[in-house]
Amino acid sequence: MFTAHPAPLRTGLEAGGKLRVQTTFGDGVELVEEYDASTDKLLTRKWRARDALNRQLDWEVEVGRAPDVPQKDAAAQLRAAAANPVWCARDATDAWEWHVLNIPYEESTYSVTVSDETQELVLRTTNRKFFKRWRVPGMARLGLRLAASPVSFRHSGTTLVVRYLKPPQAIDQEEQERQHRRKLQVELKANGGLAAAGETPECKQS
Amino acid sequence: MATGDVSLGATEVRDLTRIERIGAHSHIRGLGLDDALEPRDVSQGLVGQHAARRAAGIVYKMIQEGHIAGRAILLAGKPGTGKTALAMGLAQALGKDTPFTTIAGSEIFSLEMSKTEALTQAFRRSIGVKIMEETEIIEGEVVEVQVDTPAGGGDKTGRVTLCTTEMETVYDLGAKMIDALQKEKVTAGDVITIDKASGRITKLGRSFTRSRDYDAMGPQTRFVQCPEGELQKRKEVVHVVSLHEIDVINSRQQGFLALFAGDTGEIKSEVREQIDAKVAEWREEGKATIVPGVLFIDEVHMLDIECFSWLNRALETDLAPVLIIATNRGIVKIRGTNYRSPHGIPIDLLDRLMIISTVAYSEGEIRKILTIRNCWQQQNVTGSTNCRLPHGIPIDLLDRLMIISTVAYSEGEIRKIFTIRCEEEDVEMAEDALDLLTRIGIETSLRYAIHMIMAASLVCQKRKGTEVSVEDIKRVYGLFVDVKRSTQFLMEYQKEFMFNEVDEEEEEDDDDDDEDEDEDEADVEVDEAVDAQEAMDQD
Repeated sequence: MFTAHPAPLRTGLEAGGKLRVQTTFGDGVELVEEYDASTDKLLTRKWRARDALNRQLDWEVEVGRAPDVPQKDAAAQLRAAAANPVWCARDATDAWEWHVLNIPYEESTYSVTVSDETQELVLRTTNRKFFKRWRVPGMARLGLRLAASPVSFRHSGTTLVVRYLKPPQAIDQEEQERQHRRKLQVELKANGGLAAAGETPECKQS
Repeated sequence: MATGDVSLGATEVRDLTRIERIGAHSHIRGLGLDDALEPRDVSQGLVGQHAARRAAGIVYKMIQEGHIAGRAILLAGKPGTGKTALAMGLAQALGKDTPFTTIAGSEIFSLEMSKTEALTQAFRRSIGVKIMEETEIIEGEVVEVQVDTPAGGGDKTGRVTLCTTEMETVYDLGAKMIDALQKEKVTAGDVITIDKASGRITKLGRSFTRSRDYDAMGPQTRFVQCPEGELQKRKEVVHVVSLHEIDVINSRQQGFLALFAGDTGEIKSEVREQIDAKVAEWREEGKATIVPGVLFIDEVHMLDIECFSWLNRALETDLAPVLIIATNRGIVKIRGTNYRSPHGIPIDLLDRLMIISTVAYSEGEIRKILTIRNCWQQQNVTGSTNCRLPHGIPIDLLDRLMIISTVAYSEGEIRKIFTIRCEEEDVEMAEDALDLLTRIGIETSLRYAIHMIMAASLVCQKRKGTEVSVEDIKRVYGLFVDVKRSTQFLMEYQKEFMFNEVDEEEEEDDDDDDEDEDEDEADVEVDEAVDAQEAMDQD
């Protein structure tokens, strides 16, 4: 996810108001991205790698909500109860967002800090009910270090939203990708909804 | 959160894990050697056989140091002199990280799979690849365990609350996970890890914060810190998988077709080649190490000539395990060969075998092997013209073997073995009964006497005794016959059995001595059953 994968092979598919771009890399890693066809908002981005013995691992969801369906029998034997907070990442034009749903404590409970040595954001709760450390994939791919100033969070109802403002480099790169997707969409229209997206821009460090 | 109320104790679960079947070699825990690889007289379930055990100890050291991959060892000796026991001891001594595969020579004959495929699979099962893998685990201190048993039956449901120093999560449990938690006797205050992929639970100890909960605790209670950070963690674990397992993973159908793929059956050689290349690559990159294991083929005389020639070649490949084979046969014909023609092997193959064997193997060397195995009669074996070969194994293969010979047990040793077996089978036995059993062991066979232990203990139980006495042994001796008495019985009454004409014919045929013996053994078993039945009827 944070290292470069070689030889991307991309195909696009537009259906049900979503543009779905599937990328398969030379090392067997798969990437699936889903965009809203009209607003071009990133809905889902998930990765799937293979382990050393060539077994397929589970999907790793970078953006969007992870499916609630247990993928293996062993997992069905132990799952987080419905009352627990749910974590998911979202994408906004100006910032990366992380939503914690189902978390009812008031705003003063939370603190978000930047861990400089591990390059992670850390969310703590004073009542010790929730804790999370996570990397910001967009920053890691650009090779930038995290700073404290772009971080903000707010709580309303039972949802906590943590935001990290995108730096100009990230906004520039996303604009390039957006233009490329537009070309892909035109191609898709001509081909009746399915196209191989031939030459792609240098596949981002992903 | 609630404190230590745990509803686990409510349903008393009988722990069945300790009750295991007692196998013929279940008392063997290792080779019984000291640090200098000298055999201790009675240790780890092995008795006597000093020379053989010392040799096995050297083999053990060589395997550990990785010097012996691709070589073969033959364990040869009379029936009941501890060949399988030695192999089992070696397996135990090597530990569970060294792959140890046991097959019987006759196991490879199947209609589903060719002989060589079965042998290849056995070979590849015996080679481990040590590889780092990342697994997701949940690690935390148990705050509360709750199990609800529905009144009208049905699956149990449950909940476990785990916490770290920073967070807390409630997990819903399936029926299997509840059972696993109960089996591990997990209670509030324990620090546990759960492997997400396999669902395996490991108890790390009790949390320090709970150290004052109990006044009394076992000496093995370990106190650990409550884990920090997130409950779900990724951990690198070292994993030993066999080459065969990697073969199977990679030979399965990919994609949705995998749903319909059942048994893998034969694995394509291309798949194996790819995997060998991949493993070599990992080795160079330092990602994996090869653990050459041990393949033990018992009753190796059941392999036929095709298998032997395959073994010749396979032992030369660079990914070969240590091969240990055992046989109790003397000079017999090789399976799959025709007695009348020289070896009965196709001429081209015979040619190849001859070239390898005759060059490498002189008459004197064969004689040396025969001296080691002093129970074999001395015989001149010259090249291919003689069908009788030492141990019934072609000379070329014999040339690659290290031969460890096992000799018959002495009286004291037999007595010690019985004492160990009595302990293993949980049987109390009087001293004089043990003496009698030892006598029986010497005069009949070790195996027969070992079988008598359990039978005698049952007889003892029936008369509500607490200790097996001479009478019990005598009774069992009367109920079950041994090989000698059965043979005698057969001599007297063979006219009354079916197919007795066949037996007469075979008796004239001097060359088939060994096989006759086998048939006798089979008959004995039938006989014992018949006799036991009769005895029961009399009761």
